[in-house]
Amino acid sequence: MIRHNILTNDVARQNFVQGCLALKAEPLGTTRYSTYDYFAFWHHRAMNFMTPPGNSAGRNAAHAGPVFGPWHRFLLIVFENQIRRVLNEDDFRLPYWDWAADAASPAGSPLWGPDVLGGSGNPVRSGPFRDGSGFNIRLTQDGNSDDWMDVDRPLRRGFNIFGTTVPSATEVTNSINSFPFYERQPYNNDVSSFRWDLEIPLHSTVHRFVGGDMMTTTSPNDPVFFLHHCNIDRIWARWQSTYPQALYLPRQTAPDTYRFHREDDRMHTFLDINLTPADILDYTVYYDYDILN
Amino acid sequence: MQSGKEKVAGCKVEHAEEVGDDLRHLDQPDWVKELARGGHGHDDHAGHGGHGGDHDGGFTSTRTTHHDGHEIEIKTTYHIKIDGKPYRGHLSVNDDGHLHCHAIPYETYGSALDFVRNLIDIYPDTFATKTQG
Repeated sequence: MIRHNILTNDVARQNFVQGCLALKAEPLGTTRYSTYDYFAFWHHRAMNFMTPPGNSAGRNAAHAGPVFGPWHRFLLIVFENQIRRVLNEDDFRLPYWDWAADAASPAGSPLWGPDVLGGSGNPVRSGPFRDGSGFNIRLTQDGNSDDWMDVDRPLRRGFNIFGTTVPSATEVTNSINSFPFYERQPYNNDVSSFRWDLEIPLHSTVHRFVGGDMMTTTSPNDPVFFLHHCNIDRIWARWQSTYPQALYLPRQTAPDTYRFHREDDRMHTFLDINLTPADILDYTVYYDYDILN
Repeated sequence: MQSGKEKVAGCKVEHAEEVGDDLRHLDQPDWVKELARGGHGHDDHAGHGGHGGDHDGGFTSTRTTHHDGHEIEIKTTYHIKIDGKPYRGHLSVNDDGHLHCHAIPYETYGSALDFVRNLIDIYPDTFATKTQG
């Protein structure tokens, strides 16, 4: 099954939008939250679990370390499964936003049109997730404590407030060409590697451009999170196809200080599943992309 | 042995059996907390273990390295108050000297003042607007 560009595949676009709305409308147990909200909660909790505590580089169970690629691949697959279930569409695969194609004018991308994600604003006032659509944010990070707090408000975006650009196709290609290795010691953001380049210059720049809810640890609150990370995953897949012999690092022989990031470590999850980076390196078991380059 | 695909297919977020009435009790997954208790060097970040947080808005980040046979340790402490109240979030200092915090995970700062300005802008749910018009 194929993951498509959301701007060139109407079926994928419609299913993604309808799937997000359906998961938002589906109660999570007997809580005030929805199945959709669970992903913002999970992302927040993983991001606030330091691995190990005290590391000054900010490495946590989902970011700033090797597991950034596998853990987000894991989260996307679980979310994709949820949309398949709620829409009863077994062939559904997440679409991606090829933001590099919009680098000349990211705010002008058709992605922000009323039939896709709607535009910028506090609150967002257009599109299927606009104020009044029922797509309300139910939990967000507390800015003063790193804990999360209950809210009930519309989605927020703020283009060009914290960042004005998204990476270009040339920057993506340069990243792939510059790093034939996935990671290197000490496996954090103090040294450059493909993982570092993927996460910091490429991935974080897009979060900053979108702004609003995408700036926080509960960034999956904005559906663009999934389209953006699907594209990040696609770039990692392209890197994997470019360097098929390159190893995921660190191996399991690395010290326990790298737990949560080694190839056979269980990845952070509240679900009853023991999934490791090694389980997920071959993404073609789960999906494929229409175009890698 | 189950394949990764079989494992993922068995994930049942929709059943949410662990969730019950609220998410508050899900501080961290039980197996993660068990690892922390087992002395594997991990701890729930909620207590900021190892980061030197205190109740007065003080946060100490420790960087260590070696150079030419010498051992180097640098402790950097920030005391931040917003409207007179201590900032209780996590802060750390990267090797390049930039400030990193959980609250704004996609950015680092050369200036703590810029960090706090952005913090207030990004979290209106926490910091209500006080701009005088």
